[in-house]
Amino acid sequence: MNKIPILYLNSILIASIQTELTDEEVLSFQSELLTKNNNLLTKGVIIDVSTLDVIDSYMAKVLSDLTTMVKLQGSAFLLCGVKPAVSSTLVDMGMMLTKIDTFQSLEKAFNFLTSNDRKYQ
Amino acid sequence: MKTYEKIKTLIHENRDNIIIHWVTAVTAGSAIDKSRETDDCSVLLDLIFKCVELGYEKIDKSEQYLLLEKELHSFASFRALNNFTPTQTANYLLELKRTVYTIVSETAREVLADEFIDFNNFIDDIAVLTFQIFSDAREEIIASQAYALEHDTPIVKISRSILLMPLMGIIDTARAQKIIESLLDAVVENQAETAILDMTAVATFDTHVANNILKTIVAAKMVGTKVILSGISPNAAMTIVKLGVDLSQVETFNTLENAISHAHERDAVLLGEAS
Amino acid sequence: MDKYCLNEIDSVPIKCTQDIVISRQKGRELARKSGFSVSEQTRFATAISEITRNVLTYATEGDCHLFENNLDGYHMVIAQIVDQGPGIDNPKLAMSDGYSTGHGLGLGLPGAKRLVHELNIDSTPGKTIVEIIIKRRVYG
Repeated sequence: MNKIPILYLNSILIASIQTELTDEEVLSFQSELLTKNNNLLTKGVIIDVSTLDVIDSYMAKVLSDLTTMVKLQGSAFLLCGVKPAVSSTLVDMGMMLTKIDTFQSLEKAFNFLTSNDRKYQ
Repeated sequence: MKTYEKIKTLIHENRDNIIIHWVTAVTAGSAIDKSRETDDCSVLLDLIFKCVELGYEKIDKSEQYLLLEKELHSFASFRALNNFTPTQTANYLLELKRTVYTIVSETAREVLADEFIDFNNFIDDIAVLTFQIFSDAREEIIASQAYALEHDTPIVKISRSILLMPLMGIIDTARAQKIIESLLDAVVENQAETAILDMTAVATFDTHVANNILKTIVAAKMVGTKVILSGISPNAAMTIVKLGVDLSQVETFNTLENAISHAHERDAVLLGEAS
Repeated sequence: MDKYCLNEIDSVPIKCTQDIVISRQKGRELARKSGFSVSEQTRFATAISEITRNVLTYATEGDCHLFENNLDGYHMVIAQIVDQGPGIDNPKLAMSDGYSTGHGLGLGLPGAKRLVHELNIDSTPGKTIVEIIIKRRVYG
């Protein structure tokens, strides 16, 4: 079973999904992420999908559910690196992930979270 | 074997005379540059003369004929590229025939009757060939223009983080797909923060176009780029409202200038956050 | 659905969710080899993913067959997803947006249809074939 490493940096959880996951792997990733987020009390969670070639409606639903769950835990949820072809495919299927804050790159998402921090300090 | 001594000698002796008359005939009533035409006519006449010299039975696949064919190619393609009319082009070689006929009938009518028929047929053949080349070249140009109009939607880089895509003409489903794809590819490649869709030149605005624009905006948001609109014409504005299309979530600007300055302001805010 | 002479390239049995991933990867690879654009590859693979997941949800088991074909100046890549499940009662209804008897978002079939050039359903109790086709004009 593929396990996705979840990194902790500057009060931010970062996970990069680099292989195509089966439904079971997605679910175990989801619960691991939520547990870590609960234990570490993070500022935000960033998921990088820049190497994913396919996001189907199941994966999209998982991501959209994750957004709600992470927000319920009091952290921000950012998605980054959605490929152009993946994005237009999702839109054509009718999956508008408009609830999710998306960024082009991990760097931009990370900067967004850390700079917000400075503003509130 | 038939020889064409008489018409050959006649063309040879009257070369300059023929060229002058021919050029006058083809440039009559138009603003075509005479010196260029004189060059073209002399080159063509000399090549035709070489073919006549060889004899019509032997010209097939001969070196002389290939040279003439090559010259006719560049001659006809040039005319197609420079918007000469089909009539102008078709008349070109026919005018040569008339010019030669006039000279023949004035100087040596009775002698040249049978040789002239062959000459006449030969010119007809190359006139048909020329016209064929001309119309092929025209079709090619039209096809490539249509292709460019349909498929090439340019993306202009306004600054490091701002891209502009002026939409033009008719946006059907196939084209909308291309527009979405190329815009998304470009924003990701350039890491652009803002993309401006300029609607000034969109021919018709209907629900399809509106939906495709909404799709583009959502898809761009998912890769992390904001899309704003500029230049919605009065007609388009009326259509949007009449059709009940909801564009309220989309930021729109009256001019491209305002859209660009908004994008710059947005840039400054984002850069301020990051530093 | 056997209106053309098809050239089978590959076949994947669908038994667990890992097979969804394998099916769509193979479909994507075939579309890539056949010269379709990145965006078309993605759309085709996503459509396969949607339909093979339906197999696991409604029929528990099935197969995904991949074909290539040339017809009337078009080059096409075809995926036929076959199962022995109860079948789709009303294919027309199943194709309408938001309709779902499973637990998804009801985007499976209608969503997949929008991603490909053709989606055909041939369903009887005991055998269901869902066929998706992407095509590309070939010149010369």
